Amino acid sequence: MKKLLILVALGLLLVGCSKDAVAKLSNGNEALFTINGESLTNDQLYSLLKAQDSSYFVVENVNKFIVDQEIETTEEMKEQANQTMNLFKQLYGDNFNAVLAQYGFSSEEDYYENSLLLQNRLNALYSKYVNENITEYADSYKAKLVQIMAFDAEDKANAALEALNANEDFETVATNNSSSEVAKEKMVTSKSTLADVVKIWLDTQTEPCTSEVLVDEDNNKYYIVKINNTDYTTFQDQLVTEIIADEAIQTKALASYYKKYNFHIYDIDLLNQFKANKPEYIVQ
Amino acid sequence: MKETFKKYWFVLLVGVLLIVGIGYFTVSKISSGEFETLKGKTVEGQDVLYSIGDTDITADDFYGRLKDMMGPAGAYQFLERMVADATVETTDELKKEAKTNADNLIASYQNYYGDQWEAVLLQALKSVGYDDIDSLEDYFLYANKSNTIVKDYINANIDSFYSEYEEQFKPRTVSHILVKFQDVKNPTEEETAKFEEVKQALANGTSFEEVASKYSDDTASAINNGSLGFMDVQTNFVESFKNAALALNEGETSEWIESDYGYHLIRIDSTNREKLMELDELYSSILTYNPTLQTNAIWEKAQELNIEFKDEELKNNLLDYMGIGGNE
Repeated sequence: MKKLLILVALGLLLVGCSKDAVAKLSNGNEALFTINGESLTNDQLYSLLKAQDSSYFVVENVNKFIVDQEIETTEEMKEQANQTMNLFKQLYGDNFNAVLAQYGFSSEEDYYENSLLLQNRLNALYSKYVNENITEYADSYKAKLVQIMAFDAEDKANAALEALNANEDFETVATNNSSSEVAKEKMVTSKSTLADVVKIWLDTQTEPCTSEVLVDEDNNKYYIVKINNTDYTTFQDQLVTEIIADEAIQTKALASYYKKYNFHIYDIDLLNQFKANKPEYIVQ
Repeated sequence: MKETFKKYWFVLLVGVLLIVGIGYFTVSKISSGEFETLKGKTVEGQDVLYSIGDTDITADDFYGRLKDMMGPAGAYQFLERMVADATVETTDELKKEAKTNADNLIASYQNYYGDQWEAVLLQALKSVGYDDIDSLEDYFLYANKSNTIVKDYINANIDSFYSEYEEQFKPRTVSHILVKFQDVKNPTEEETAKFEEVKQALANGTSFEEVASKYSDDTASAINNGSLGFMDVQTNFVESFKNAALALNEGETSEWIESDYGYHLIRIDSTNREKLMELDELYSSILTYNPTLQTNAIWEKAQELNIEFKDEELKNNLLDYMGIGGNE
């Protein structure tokens, strides 16, 4: 009985005492410099640097790995990166290299490759993810191509509606009646900033049509809205560009690729940093 | 056997219940993942930090990248601490000062971050190489020791740069008397009456200090006879006040200067170098004028302490970081 009790207690102790892994350097004890008999070792410097939110650098490296697998660099991406680089060069003039150094880039090439071009490739990655899951997003974004005119006076709005009913061109009618809103065709989604009365009306429509005069009583505004297209597949690129501007979608996209490539952390300090700062990317 | 069971049935029952209880506890903890530990991975004798796809990134790989990007700044933190420790003796006075600094910082963190103060402070400490909040006093101890080294270095070299610094930064101590107006363009009777009373007191020969102490609406400086202490071109005063104060010489008093607060009478108490050197603010101002004085001070001491590098690349990068590259 006694032996059994001791065995169970020992087992419990062993289970409770197992330690989380910490990835160690192979030359951690080697000194970097010595002052007055005291040394700074690789281990000490590594511990300090690792504690300074090194998860940021891991994310940067992993993102680079993922875009290398998923996205081909196109001439257009390179051209766009070059244009941005030239713009910054003009902006900062002689201080350009000093500014790059401040942000931790060792050279123009480093900045071009690991920031500007990488960002363009990441955008392509986000687009790829959203395109692959477009039906999921199309349902919630409810994208439409519309034209909107807005008036401060009801009689102007009524006159405009009458002209529209007489088959006059929407943009021309807007201009003739001094619409305060540019009546050019644009894409609107459930995330667009619109007057509530316009939003509510748009939400109820699924096919191309023109509204009556929509009255915003709180702000004394009068709107007429024309829906030209509700088939997002005909303007999918435009919709995707809007969707990927949302940082939450970017994170979701990256998280899915972290999962696809089975991102795994073998160091408890790094894992804790991810838990605190980037929990979405944890796969294990 | 039967007799033994009969005799010890209660002890046996307790024993069995205990074993079942411990067993249940252990199994439930394991199945809930509470005892789950993070397992490590080794590739060709090197510890792996993380893996993505088929690629393993070892701690050695990652350290190389971190060292390239942030190594000099990190190494400088250690260098400064080691030099400070080896150069300046830990006195009771320094310990007391460090404790006061630590207590004040904790109080301000508690005030600002509420329940989160400990986590935020710990994160800040970790980023400068300390593992727990108890080491905050150590942090201040080294910081104060480092300040002593830098101050000594500045004092020893001040002749070589002070004229240029003085011309660019215009260091001085300043006092003022403020008569507050809600709207200078539309003063109330009360505000006008007070303004006249202050002017009259000065005209009657009452000293600047006494008038400041008795009448100034800037209560913080009034208790110090109107003294605002140290200022230079970078001090964050309202523009009209700052321009007037910087245009005056030692001992001069301005006309009444209008600002968003009302009217100020400004006096420059001192521009004397020896007097200004009694103020810590002068040293902060000098370090803003030339930040490399700090790194030069530490490097000079490091050389006196026979610093020896085992990693030449780090040495060159560290010297660049300190603004000493090529000047060793």
